[in-house]
Amino acid sequence: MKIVHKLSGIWREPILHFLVIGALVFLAFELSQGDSVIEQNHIRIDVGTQEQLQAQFNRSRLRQPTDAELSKLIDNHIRDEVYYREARALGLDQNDTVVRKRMFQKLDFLLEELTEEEIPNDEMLVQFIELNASRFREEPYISFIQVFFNPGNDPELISNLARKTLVKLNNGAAPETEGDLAFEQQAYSGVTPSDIKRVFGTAFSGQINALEPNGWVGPVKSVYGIHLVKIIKKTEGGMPLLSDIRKRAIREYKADRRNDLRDIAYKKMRDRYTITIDSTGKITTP
Amino acid sequence: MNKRIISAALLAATILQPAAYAKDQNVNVLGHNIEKPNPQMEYSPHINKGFPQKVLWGDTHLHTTYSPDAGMVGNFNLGPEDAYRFARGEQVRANNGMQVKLVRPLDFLAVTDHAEYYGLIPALRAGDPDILSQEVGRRWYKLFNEGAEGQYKVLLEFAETLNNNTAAFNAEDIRRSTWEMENRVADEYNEPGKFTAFIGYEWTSTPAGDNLHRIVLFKDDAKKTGQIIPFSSFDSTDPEDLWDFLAKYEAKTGGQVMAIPHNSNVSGGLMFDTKTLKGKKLTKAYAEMRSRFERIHEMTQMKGDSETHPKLSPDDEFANYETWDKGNLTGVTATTDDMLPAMYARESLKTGMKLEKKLGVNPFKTGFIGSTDSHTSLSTAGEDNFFGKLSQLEPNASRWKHYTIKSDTPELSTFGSDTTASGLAAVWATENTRAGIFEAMQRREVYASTGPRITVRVFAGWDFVETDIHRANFAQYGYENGVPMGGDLTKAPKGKTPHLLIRTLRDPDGANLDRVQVVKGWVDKKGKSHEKVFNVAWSGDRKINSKGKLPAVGNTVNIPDASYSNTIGEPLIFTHWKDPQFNPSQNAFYYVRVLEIPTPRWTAYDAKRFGIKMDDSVVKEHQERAYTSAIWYTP
Repeated sequence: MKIVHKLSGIWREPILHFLVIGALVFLAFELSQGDSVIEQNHIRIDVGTQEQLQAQFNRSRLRQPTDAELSKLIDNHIRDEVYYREARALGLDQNDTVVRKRMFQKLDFLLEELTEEEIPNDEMLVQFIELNASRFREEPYISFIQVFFNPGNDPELISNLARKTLVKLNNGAAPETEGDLAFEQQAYSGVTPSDIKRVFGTAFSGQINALEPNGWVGPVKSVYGIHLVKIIKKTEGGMPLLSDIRKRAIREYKADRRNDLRDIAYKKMRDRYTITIDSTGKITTP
Repeated sequence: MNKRIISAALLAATILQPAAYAKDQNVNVLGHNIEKPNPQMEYSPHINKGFPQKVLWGDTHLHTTYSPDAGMVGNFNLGPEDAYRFARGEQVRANNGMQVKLVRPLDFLAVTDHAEYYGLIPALRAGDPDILSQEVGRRWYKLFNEGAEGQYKVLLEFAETLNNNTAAFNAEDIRRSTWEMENRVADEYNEPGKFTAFIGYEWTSTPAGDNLHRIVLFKDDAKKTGQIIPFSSFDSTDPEDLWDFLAKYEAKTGGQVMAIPHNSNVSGGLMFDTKTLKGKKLTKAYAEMRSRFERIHEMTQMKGDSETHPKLSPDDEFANYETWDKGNLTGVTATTDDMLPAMYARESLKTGMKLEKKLGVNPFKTGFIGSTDSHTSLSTAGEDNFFGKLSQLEPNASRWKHYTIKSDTPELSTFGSDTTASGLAAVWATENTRAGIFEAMQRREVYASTGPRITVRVFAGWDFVETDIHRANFAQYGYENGVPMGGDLTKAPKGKTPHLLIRTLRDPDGANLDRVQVVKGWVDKKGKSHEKVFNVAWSGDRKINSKGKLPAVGNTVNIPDASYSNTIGEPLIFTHWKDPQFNPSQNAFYYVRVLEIPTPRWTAYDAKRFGIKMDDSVVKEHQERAYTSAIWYTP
């Protein structure tokens, strides 16, 4: 619906926005049916309709129709229209599963197109992010050093060694030569709990995240063994500025709208109906 | 104004108006400026060393609603945006209505819809006038609207036209606009350093039901890939024609592209055949083209594992893993023993070395990756979070007994329970970018996992010693004194033997490791190939028995509870191995296989969560694994 897109910057009010979009979309639908004037027994093939028939032809054949072909297209179009109107007059569109299905789909696509065109403003985004805070909250950044001990065949011995090393480290020993150096790197700078989880597992990541910069501590257990840990620096996470996450926020807003739209639309439309289900004793009326 | 227009506008207004927003809301109340680490002030001495630091995990094979077999049957809602969002860790609603999320996001993803009938189904579903203007389009539209049965009929017609290599319908406009859309979405979701969204598609060559499928994966962005539209199997079913097309693409755009074969296990003996599809002898030119474009092989995925077959590797007690050997892809032809050598990865490496001696170039020198080939837009390779191969196989109480592929010959049909919650591609890349990952794939510094994120690093060299495995600068030392997985050793120095340094870590949120093995293949003087699986390191104090076998690690799986415990196995295994029977005059390859302890298969999780009983024949526990790319020795 390009026509809608071009106008999208003009207004600010959400209600007006949707009113006008709705009107334009349906206008476009009406135009695409080809009849700019709809009267009971009058079929007018205006210039726009003719251009549209030519364009359709061009899209599938990649050339313009000849005059004879155009004349044939118009004849077919008139024939379709006469059949369509007569069939409707006879009520043949009623209770036809294909027609019903098609109507359902057209409304469905209309709804989808509307969300695609919707550009959420800052207020809408802020509210959306606040409602979904857990999805957008930024993780803390942690810088730490870990000294690893592989428990191997004698966990008790290694555990004692780790305790002795802890004292050494707190007395100023350099970590670079302590512990089992074969395992991963010792120093991590500005990593998130997710980054830590990726290397050391969920449980270890949680333990590191709970520590504060306060000298060497340990032993801290991971799935791989035991660690002595020193937090160098920790920057708290929290809610980011909209300007830092706008792209993702718009993406997620739209995705949610796409997901929820059918349910919301259905509920609102259904609310306008009174529904009675005659009792047969088999089901409970909703 | 037309009454309908007004009512439509009102409809739009009432149902789409967002919840009331406070007018005076301060837009900046949201958060604060989070102090992010300054990249100029890194503390770690180990960054930017110029070699890969950490393994990246991803999926190079995923279908969305724009693939005909996905969009026609069940995947009605999820396109590439949902696929990338899901891979990045966002929550998505699956086609069955359930919410789904990955516990750990992927680092990269390629959306690879089938080039055949590309983008057709969403247009068909929408009743696109161009489609309805053709008889076959109208018929498909009608069948689609009849529901599941009609949709399945259309699917069979698709399969039939693929088998016969004749498109029943051509919609060039739709293919082009869908390709442009998918390229645009990939570019939008591609975030160098954070997440790589590859542009790609699947070339679905299926002559007579034999699977010759290739993923076509681009290093490039839409500026280059937009200059073509996908070469499909309706253009040609012959991989040689595909490679020609890819060569022309590279020449025209200056871009780079590769083809990734997969499901050799249902190829009817064609994937690694020793003659061309046209039945001619392989030539040096063939081998050069093939090895130029086919650097890696997706050898484990949802339609089974293609490492090896029990009949090809009778001495390997782990060979029968997620085996799909009933028939070819569409169940037209049964698998016979003579087809097997051309259908499995390990044997293809052996065949490749034999061909190299004849042709001077090894046509089958492929590294290994896993991927999902899921058709749900959801890349789920975890046993406890398996959303299935097809949308009808998304979680439900009876999915295990649904058909996956229904054959006219009942015994060649495959079922939901045969599908595998697999796999992932592990990549040792220098950076998480299209170029970084693509180049790692080209040098085959990649490996396959059946799902768990097992870290495996291997270096081969002539002078490694036992203590090297404990070096703090292990990786740097490995690169400086040897070659990583995917690499080559040549011309053994006199009296020297290949030594492998292997480091493996279990999935940090998964199961312990049972053992590390080296699989060796070689070609003897008479040109005959051999293989041997060496147990190199393992957990506990097990001893190799008189038959040369290592006893099983044990089993903690509780099937009814779908649980296991890490009370057996090892979380990390670092080891050094020296080939005990090296012959410097023989071509050889070495790859590493790492086995986890037994864990519940997805079927056990289903049985528990849905409270159902499955047939006894359904496998409910297994040992997941990682397969590294080989290191080749060439005299």
